[in-house]
Amino acid sequence: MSKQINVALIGNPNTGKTSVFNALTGLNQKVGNYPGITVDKKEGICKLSRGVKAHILDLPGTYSLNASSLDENVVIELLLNKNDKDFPDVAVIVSDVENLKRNLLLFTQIKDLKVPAILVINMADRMSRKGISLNIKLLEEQLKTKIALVSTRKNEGITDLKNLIENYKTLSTEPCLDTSTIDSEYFSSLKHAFPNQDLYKLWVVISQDANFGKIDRNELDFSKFKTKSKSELKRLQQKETIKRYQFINSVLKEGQTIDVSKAKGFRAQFDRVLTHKVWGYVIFFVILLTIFQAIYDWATVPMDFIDSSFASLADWIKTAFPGGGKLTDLIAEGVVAGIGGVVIFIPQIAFLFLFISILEESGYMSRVVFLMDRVMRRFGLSGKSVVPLISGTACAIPAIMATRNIENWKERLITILVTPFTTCSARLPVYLIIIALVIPEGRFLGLSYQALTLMLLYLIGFGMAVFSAYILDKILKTNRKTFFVIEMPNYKVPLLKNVALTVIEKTKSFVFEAGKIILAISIVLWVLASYGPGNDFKNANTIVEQNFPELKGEQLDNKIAAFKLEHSFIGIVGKTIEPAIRPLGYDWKIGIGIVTSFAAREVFVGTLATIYSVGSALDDDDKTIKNRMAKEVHDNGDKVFTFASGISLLLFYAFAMQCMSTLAIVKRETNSWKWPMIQLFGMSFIAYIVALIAYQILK
Amino acid sequence: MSEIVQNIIIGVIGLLAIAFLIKKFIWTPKKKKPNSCGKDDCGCH
Amino acid sequence: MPLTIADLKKGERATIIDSSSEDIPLKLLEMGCLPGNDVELLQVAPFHDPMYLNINDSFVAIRKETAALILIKEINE
Repeated sequence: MSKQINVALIGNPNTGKTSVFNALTGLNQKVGNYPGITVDKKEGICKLSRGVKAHILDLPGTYSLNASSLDENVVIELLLNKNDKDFPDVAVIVSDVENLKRNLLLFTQIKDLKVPAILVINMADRMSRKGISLNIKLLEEQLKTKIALVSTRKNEGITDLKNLIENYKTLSTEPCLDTSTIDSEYFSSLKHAFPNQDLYKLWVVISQDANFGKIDRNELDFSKFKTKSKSELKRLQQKETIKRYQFINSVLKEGQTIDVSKAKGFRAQFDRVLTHKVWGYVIFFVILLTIFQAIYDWATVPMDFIDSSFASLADWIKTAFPGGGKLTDLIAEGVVAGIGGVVIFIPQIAFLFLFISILEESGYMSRVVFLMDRVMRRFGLSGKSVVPLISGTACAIPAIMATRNIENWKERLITILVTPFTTCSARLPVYLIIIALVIPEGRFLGLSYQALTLMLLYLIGFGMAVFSAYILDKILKTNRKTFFVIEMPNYKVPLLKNVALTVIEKTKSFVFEAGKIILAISIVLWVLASYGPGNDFKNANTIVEQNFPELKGEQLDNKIAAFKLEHSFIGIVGKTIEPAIRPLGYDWKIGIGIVTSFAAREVFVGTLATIYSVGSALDDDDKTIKNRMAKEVHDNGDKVFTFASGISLLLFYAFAMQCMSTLAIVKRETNSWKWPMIQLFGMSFIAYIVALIAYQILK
Repeated sequence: MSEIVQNIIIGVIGLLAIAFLIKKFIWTPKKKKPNSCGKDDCGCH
Repeated sequence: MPLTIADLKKGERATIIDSSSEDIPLKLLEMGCLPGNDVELLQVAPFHDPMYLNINDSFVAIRKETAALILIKEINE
């Protein structure tokens, strides 16, 4: 029987903890969720020696056991709960050789919880460059632990670490600090009240309670013990921190020597340019433009490939099962098309996260947050809102998940609420076809009107996000306190492995989170579009043949399909809402398109193709749909797609909340109904009004 | 496959899809903490 | 008026004498923002906010309103 050792990987952010995790587990990792809270649970398996493996839990990075956010709280919850199935047999604490002093704070706290601990000193390859030398033997002695000197970049030290993990039973569980020295009076009365409990553990429980609101601890009964006030507890925590640093300083004084003259580094030079009052912003802007351009260019090839592949698949299913009838249609048009609608965005999303991940791994992202914070704050956002807002241009779903690192709940909430205004990839197919239809040819300053319109739409999306953030900031209850602290890590060359794994993880989350919902909605919409009440629907074939006797073959089929759609459940919905959307310049056919966009915005184009009986959009190129749409007229002979109605439609899609998947994620991340509903109604209302005004003015 | 059987299968799939969506949107997962980071400052600092 | 980190100009150094204000995030203290430790202002964003500091060899950025809560003495070049 194989033995499994439970390992908890803990450490400050920016220590390369993730690299260590990746080095130990490789591809044997998965990301799940902690029950009840929106924190990622990252775990993996590492084979040690024959028959022995380690289950490794990569806990969220934290600076100390004193949690200041939901994900940091996960660490302390785990370490205090011996009954948790993931409770570690051994804790591996990852530190960074350049920040040992600060990293050791967390280390000493964990030691004091009497959990067997191994200290990993990572980025060892930078030691000589920084003039740092360590007396490992002495450190091991004074810190009462075993140390693994690791460099994930050079792949050194991992085997040592694995050995140490396997031999975890030989580790000492002696604490580093005598807890009662923090404040002898308080702690002796504590000891008196709870003689059977471990003193430091008690202290952590008490101070956590103050930090984090109601957490029930049924093992301990505090009713008899008079607890201190919040500010007094904070003062004690400060004292503890000071005491710990005193201990750490004395250990490092002997165990670590830094020869400053040897230290080389580019941090200062890079920062001078990258955080420069003028150049910093210019450089950031240029980088952003480059990223967008690259994504736009590179993604088209795979996207076209995916598009035609799924189209062929759908066709093949239809022809391979001719007797299948409705069921094959469901599979070809509902399921395959639904899945295709998700897969097609993978290239754009993957590329965007590739760039973002590189910027984060290199350390540059923190500088961006630094540059943007002040500007963002005027609008109720945080500097840390930059990443979500940029990510939103691929897809709002991973973007909203990226808001988890924003400390201030109000800034985080506002970021979540406004991110969907940024122009996501799904809006592009709609934009492109409408622009091609109604925007005239011609150039201005070297750029075509069409390209300019597209850029304008991007700016409008971003502008609206910022503007609504401003409004929300004024409306929502003001939270005076600010807890903004961001570490500015060293610049480093991004590790390819980490970047790749991040891209895979983020893409997976998009595919599975959004994918499931889009697929379900596609199926529902297909059913609603393929069945209809009443005789008109049932007798579609005969009716059409009677009224259009001159049509044959494919043209006849298309006409029948259009007729059926008109009389299906969805068609009825479209006709019903027509009076409401007439003032915006739309007819019931566009109405149907808007309804089906609730599955995914890009479905709009395919739906229109069916309605205008061009057959499936998949086997005809855009030209045919465009021509057909250009010829569409209202009953009174006026064209449907005019400049006015086109602009109105563009603006509607820019502002309307149609993406059900986004609403589902918002609901999950804010843990309530209220906010997604506000988003849905608020954004749709804005979309309606703006489209209305635009049409009425321009027509 | 007869039309009726097909329609039944499609109906079932459709209902499953709807049930899934209801679960995603209507069901709020049981929380351990009484506070939710949705309204007030839940001390998440 | 007591001196705080918010009063530092780019490149100036000082020693922290008090960081006991309630509104200073504990995280900052744990990164080394404690009495007796040194602080140097490395970069500032426009409007002097946020401030990019070297506190006790930890490189962090904080907002000006937080910096104004941390008292210092002896500004050096």
